[in-house]
Amino acid sequence: MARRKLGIVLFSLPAIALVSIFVYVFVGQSINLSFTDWRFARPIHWIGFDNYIRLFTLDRGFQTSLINTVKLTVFFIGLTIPLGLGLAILLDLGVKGRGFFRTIYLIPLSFSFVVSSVMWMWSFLPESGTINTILRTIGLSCLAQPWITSTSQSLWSVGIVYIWQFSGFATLVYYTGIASVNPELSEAAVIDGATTWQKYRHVIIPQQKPATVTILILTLMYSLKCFDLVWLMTGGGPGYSSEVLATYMYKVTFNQNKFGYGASIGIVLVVLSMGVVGLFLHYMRRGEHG
Amino acid sequence: MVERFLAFGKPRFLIYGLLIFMSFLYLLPLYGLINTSFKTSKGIASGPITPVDHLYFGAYKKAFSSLKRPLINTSIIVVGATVLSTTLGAMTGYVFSKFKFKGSEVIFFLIVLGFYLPYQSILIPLVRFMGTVHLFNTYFGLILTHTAYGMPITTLLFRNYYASIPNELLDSASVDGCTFFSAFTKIMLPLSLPGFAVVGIFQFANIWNDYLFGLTLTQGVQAQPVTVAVANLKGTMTAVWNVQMAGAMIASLPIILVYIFLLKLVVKGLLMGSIKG
Amino acid sequence: MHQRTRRIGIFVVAFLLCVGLSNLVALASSEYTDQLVIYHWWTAGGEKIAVDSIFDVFKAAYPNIEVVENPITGGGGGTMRAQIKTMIMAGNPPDTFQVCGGKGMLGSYIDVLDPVDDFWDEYFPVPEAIKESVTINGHQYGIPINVMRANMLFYNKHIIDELNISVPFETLDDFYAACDRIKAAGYIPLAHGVGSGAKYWWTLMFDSILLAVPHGGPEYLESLYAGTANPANDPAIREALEAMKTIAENYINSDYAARTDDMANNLVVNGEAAFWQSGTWGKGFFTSKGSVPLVDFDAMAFPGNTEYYMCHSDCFVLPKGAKHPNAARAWLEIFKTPGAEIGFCTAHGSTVIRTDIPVGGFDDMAQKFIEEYRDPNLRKVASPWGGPPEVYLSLMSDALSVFGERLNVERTIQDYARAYAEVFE
Repeated sequence: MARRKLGIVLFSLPAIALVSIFVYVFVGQSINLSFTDWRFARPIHWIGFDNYIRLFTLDRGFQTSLINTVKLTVFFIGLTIPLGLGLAILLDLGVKGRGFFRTIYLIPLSFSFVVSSVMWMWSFLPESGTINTILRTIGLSCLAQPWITSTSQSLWSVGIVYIWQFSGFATLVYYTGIASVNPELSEAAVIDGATTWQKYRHVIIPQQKPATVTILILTLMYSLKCFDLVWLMTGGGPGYSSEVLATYMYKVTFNQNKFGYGASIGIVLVVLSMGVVGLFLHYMRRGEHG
Repeated sequence: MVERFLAFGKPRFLIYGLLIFMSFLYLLPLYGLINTSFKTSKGIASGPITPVDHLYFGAYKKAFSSLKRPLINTSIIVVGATVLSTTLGAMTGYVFSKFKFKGSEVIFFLIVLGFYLPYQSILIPLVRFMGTVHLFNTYFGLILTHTAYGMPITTLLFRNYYASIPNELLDSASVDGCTFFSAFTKIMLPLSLPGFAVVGIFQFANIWNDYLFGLTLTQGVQAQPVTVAVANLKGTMTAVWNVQMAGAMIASLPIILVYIFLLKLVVKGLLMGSIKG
Repeated sequence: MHQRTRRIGIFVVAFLLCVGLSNLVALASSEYTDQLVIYHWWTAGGEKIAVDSIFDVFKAAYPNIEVVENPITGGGGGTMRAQIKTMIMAGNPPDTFQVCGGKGMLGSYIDVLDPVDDFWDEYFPVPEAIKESVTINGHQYGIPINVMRANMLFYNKHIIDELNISVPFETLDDFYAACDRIKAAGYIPLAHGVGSGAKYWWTLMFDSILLAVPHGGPEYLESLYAGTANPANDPAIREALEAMKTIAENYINSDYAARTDDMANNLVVNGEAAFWQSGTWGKGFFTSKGSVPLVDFDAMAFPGNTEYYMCHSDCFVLPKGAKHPNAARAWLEIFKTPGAEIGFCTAHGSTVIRTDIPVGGFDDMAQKFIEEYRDPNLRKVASPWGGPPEVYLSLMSDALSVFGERLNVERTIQDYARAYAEVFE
């Protein structure tokens, strides 16, 4: 028993220590900063909750970026999960060259945001970009869009790039999940007369809950924290149409030199994540006991 | 019905068709990238879509000479951080998936929550801390940073993965005399192969493509990662797209090789796991 | 099992090697007695060749100082400045860094900089206006190496000659008339690109227009940068917004939000567009793509700006608390010399700042730029990169980029005034 206690402490201590320092101690300093009006190279004053009050009542940029972040999250998660699951099922149906396809779908993940932002900027150009040029060549020029040049489409265009970059990993996670389903279960279903479609729908897919929760947590992280792609492709524009929480925070902190105010935006982001992640973990735990 | 279709091979075409179509969509944006990497500086003006008339390798030569040291730097940092964070993640995931103690749920929640920290908000304390422990601009400093920020996701992934391994396996093992540690090494680890591979792929790609920490915690080319170096292949008031795109290709090749290797491990591990029954 | 243990063993060994190697890195730099930690944003192309030429001079003069160079690209220098702020506030300032010279920009950093008066007291033949632009409260805070005119309009010479358009444009109305003719001939009049988050090109256009409108002009622009203007009520702002609306509605390419600045330049190089607003640094965009100065392309003052030389310089500064102040001072000393300037400006395409440098060594277009700089009849005005406080560029660009979409003058006057108040609060 003592051995077990020692084991628990020893095995979990590194993680706890690292996360305590690199996350919670640093966040503590950030929280402290969020109660001040500190700007770069200026004296610092304690102002209590003023930053937070201003965020939620006066700051239109913040409110816009919050709404955009929520929109992007729903779009990104709503499309990545079905896409990842669908591709994983297709692969599981027993095609030759599975490894080849899996590798191809992972290739988008191998590019840093610096590069994928440029690639997609070129693809999205309305006149001379890859997408619209191909659409026009095959006669579908009615589908050609303004993409990131329009205020109504810029956010969704950035969402498409995120889906492109991460759905391959979702496919991998789902594929692993599907392949680890107990084969006896699916064989039993077939013997009972289930068609392929029914086999998937009633046996395999319901078993993917842990995989789905994992992907939900991952995609939620990317959409809540998403910064690089938006910053490098649109800078939050045109106007404020693709401004998200993380880009707004960066602008306020580093371009407007308001480090105290920017810290408060960061804390809002953390608290927001707290609520959503808490829900997920609760859901996951209930699923395990069921 | 579906069975009959499958036997006749017609929907096979549909399946292959869909998979190939998706592959095409995934690879489409790379056209501009690859195309531009073979252009001369004069050719850039024609835009990213116009195809090159002849392959020019000068951009690749130039990019490679700037990226030699950063490639080595990133390799060291990524291997170090991936190995460390994956191993620690397996250990921590083991604890939180199989053992319930007072406060374990809260601690686990707090660890996973760390995944959602916006890194821009902790840059200043991070730099200060690195300076204090004399790890600023060192390989180990970056390895430690990436490991720390990788702990939430590796712990979560492993915990989920281990949760699907039935507890009866461990119970029967402890009856047979296995301790905490030997249960880990003799039972959990051998079954972890797909877990290590999937987590490994994720961490590898994540850390290889990190820009923010690489920029903030290094000075000069000593420890500069390749992402920062590739970003700098573009000028601020000039644009040298061909060299930067060539650099991007060079920087992403190693990861693709790692994918192929690690994916083989995934398959192997799944095959082994399916025997468990 | 054994194969897997072997694999795990390999990983562990590899990891230990990595950790071990990290200590070796620190030992590498032991042959130097001093270090210069320097940050700039001249990362590639002609800029890199230019700054490397100064490093060569520096390393030859001071072989015992190790140069730890940190080029950081992005955001027109903004990413580098973000890193600088992080370093300074974490207590680890660099030894020197690049900044655009100007009262407002330097004023934003003044609390963390040491004055450099002694460099200016020694012989440094630079016009009084430039010295004034780096002087705050009687002390100088930056050493400039070059000067760049920001209010220029580059043009495709073939199109202009073909349509027989007379340049430069004394007024905005002349410009509109020419644009109408260019548009009728099937070309895009003005190529514009604010893609990849570079919204500040709107601000450059707006501030240049401010110099040209009836109620605007250099005194107004100076008051704007100093914080004493009243944009909510000043007629100049309204006039400038109307002008920008005319231009945005009729004369620019429709995909400006996706095109980067350099891709807008492509349009002129390829003969699809006639004009492109840029500063003297724009010359390098053309020449790197094979365009010949004065043959394929040329440059003139922005419409209505023929009497004003809107400019800023690239300066280096002396941060407080730097770890190697002697190395930094050595750098600033080299930076001042004619040799450094000539080498830098030839590759960079900017204009040498010392008035005692002969113009003979530069190409025809560069000589033209130098003559404009040294012309006492052209009034020197600060540019948005140097004149106003650092946050001006980001805040005003956001307001103006919204205008670029909606073209609603009334609404934008309010947005602009609000942003302006934030800059100076």
